[in-house]
Amino acid sequence: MLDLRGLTIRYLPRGQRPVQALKGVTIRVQAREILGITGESGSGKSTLGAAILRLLPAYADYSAGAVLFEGRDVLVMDDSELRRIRGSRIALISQDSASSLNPVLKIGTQISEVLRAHLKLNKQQRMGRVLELLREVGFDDPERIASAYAHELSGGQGQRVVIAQAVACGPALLIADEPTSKLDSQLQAEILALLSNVVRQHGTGLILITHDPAILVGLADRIAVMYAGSIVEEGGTADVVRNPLHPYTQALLRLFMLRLDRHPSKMDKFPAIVGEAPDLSHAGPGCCFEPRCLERMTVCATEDPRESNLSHSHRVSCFKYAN
Amino acid sequence: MTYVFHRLLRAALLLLGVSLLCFLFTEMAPGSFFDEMRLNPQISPETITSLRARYGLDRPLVVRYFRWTASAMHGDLGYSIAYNAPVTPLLWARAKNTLLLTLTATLLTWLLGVPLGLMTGSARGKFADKLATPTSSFLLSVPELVLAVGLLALAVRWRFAPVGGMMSLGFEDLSPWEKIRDMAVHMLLPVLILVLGGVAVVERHVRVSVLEVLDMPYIQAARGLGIGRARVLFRHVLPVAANPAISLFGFSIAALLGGSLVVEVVAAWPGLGPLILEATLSRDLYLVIGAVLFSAVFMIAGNLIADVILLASDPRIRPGEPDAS
Amino acid sequence: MLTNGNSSATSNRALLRVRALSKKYWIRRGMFRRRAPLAAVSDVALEIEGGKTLAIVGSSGSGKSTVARCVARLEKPDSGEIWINDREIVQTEGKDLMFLRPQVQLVFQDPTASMNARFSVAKTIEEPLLLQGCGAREERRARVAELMREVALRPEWMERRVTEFSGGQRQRIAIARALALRPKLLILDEAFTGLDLSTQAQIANLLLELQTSHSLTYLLISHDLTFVSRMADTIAVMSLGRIVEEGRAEEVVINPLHPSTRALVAAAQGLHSGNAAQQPS
Repeated sequence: MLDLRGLTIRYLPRGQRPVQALKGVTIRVQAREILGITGESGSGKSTLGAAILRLLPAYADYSAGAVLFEGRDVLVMDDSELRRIRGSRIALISQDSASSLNPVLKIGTQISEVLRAHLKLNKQQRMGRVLELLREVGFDDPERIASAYAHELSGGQGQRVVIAQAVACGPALLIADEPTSKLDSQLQAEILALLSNVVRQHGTGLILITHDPAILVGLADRIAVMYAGSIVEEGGTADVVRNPLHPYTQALLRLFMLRLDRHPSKMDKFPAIVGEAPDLSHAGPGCCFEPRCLERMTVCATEDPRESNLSHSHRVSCFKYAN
Repeated sequence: MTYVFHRLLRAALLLLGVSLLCFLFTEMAPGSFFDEMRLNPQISPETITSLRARYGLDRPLVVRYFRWTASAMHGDLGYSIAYNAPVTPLLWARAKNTLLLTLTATLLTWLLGVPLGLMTGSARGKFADKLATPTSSFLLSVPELVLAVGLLALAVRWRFAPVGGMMSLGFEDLSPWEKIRDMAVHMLLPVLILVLGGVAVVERHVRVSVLEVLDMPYIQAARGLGIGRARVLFRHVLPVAANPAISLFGFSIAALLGGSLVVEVVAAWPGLGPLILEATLSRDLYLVIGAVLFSAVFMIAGNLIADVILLASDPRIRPGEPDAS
Repeated sequence: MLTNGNSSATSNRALLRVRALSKKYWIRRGMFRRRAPLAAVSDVALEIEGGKTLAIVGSSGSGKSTVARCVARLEKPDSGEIWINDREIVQTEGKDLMFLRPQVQLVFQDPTASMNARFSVAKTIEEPLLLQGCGAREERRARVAELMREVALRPEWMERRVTEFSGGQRQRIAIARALALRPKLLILDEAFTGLDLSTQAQIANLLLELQTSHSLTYLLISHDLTFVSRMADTIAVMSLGRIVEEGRAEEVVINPLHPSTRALVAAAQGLHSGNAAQQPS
């Protein structure tokens, strides 16, 4: 359904060096599939999410690649076709629900606007659908919420409303960018459960972008691990978690495993990854993880790693596996 | 509703305070209406004293103030010494003229300014913006007096409008339609001056507001959900951007009576402005106070209206709403 | 392991002692602006020994941040006692509180919001030194360099603006600033939320190191029970303004008693078992 091929994007902010945000990203999402994308801040995961709908700021340059959705390349579509896809075939749920909602319009109106933009319903039908949607995302009293304003809702409620907006027109693909990072752990669990339900019921695909791989285990069918703008490893969630190949994935999972430990105790030292996140405005040749990699080899610093397919559905970009 | 009530109460108190201050200031200003008369040897001191007694100017300040307040409650704002007539009807007549001018000007200003601001805000950097921005900068930086006199000079030169007064001679003999036409033509110059200055202000405010809102994440989110550009602008951006504009609108209303003084004097429009000027210069006590009070009423009313509109349009500032969660 | 006001873990080496702490917030309801009280914190009692870490966990609205702010005396509690190194601070006011500042410092959740982004790193870190009237410029700069090295930032970057740093680096700057006056107690209010996993780990390591090298005591506020259980000696769980469970970190996590605690543990570890959607909170 969604096919990214060699997507390469640079940011060209005025008066500063260009930043290589994405480098040759190739990945597929099938219908009804949940793909998790994880990585640190600066890994390019948010850029990826926004790029699918061409929602990047004006100083972004789509240097190369294609974003094929149901056969058509989003990057070359004209404005009206793009507008028709946004919100109705692919919908983006962004990070901070509090700021994604208009402060002076009622919640019901905001959801209704999405319907109005894409579906031919009259006002009454729209209002009915709005209430339906609010019920679906878990509100007992949709009428009260529909006439409320954004500042009257809590973080969790706001996030539910944003999800309602996204599924309003029954899209084929949802992209959720850090939907829970600003919520406390209980709310996180609730919102993720909601997303998972929604996806199951409507048969939508979901791209879940997060910096916390813990969220993806048990929820995502496949995981893609990103670092410094490239996908370093990708495969079925169970595969990748059980058998992480890339050193970065391994390090990440070590951290994540701490959570699952049933006998936690105060640690002397967390298994942190040494070094700092890479500076994307000074990208050179070679593997971008190399400075922080505990298993680096001489070739890693000079050549870009090529992809190896370790199995039919598990691939990794690392010289360790290049034969 | 309680909010409005509280505001009205506060407004009444404010008016009382304004009137008191006005009294005090006029009293403290050197000179009185009769100074000129005193200099005139033909008028005897006894005449002056009796005149003063007639107008109650020999009573102590406090007494005068209370007597005036008492009669003001009935709508009687005192007596004008210069015109030898009650103040209230004098003010009304002039105020009507002023309002005619300023209401027209304000309407036009906002009808032009808001769309202009919307346009330049949403089309930043494009042609329309490149044209409008320096123009409004120019209009903003030119002082009102200079603008007024400049346009006056142009009017005299190019004769595109009559340069004084509200009506032509022989106004009474014109038919109703011709009367309206005549007044409109006379209004052209002062309205033009007012509008040129005002549109620049409104356009700037709206533009800045629109630019700010366009960058907000919820607008990006709306575009991301496929809502069209025009719809986003009018249905999503405008309601938020309207907030500061509404405050500005309050100022516009507040200035309906007081803000056109310069223009009225320059264009010889028989409104409240020239009257206040004259009265102040000649220390015509009650006329001055009455006129200031009139202006104050409008100013307070203007702010109150703006606040009420804001209350109705921006849900964020409703006082005392409990959390929905 | 519910404890009451008289904790059996009392030790005369307790750096921080809190007894019967209560604070209400007044909120306005309705058009007539009637003020109704909202009990943010009720009857809270805590203790931390010097050199140890106590974590307060709870979901949003449980009152944990309010406790932190009261301990730092950013707010005045309505009632109760707070003893820092055997000096009571609730009844102390004004100038007398000056002694508190060098001893108790805070690190907040969002490093971007807690610092002036236009300041240079040096200016940010030396601010507490300036406020306490410390020394000449060279001395201050030397101390800033020292602090930067302690938090693993290069001193050469001293003059760079805060905006040029990543979230994790900014949090390090915030920690350096907090350490400037050599405090005894560091309060970390959701200092890890919003950071990447690997950054969280790095900052955690940094704090653990600093704890040993400087014998610091930490009061950690968080909603993330599992992460916190790796850093804390004791955990107190709060719900609706009260402490509902308290004890050694491992015990609270392995064997939670109170339903709120169980919910927190379940949320943290049950993220990936796809629970059905619950009611919105």
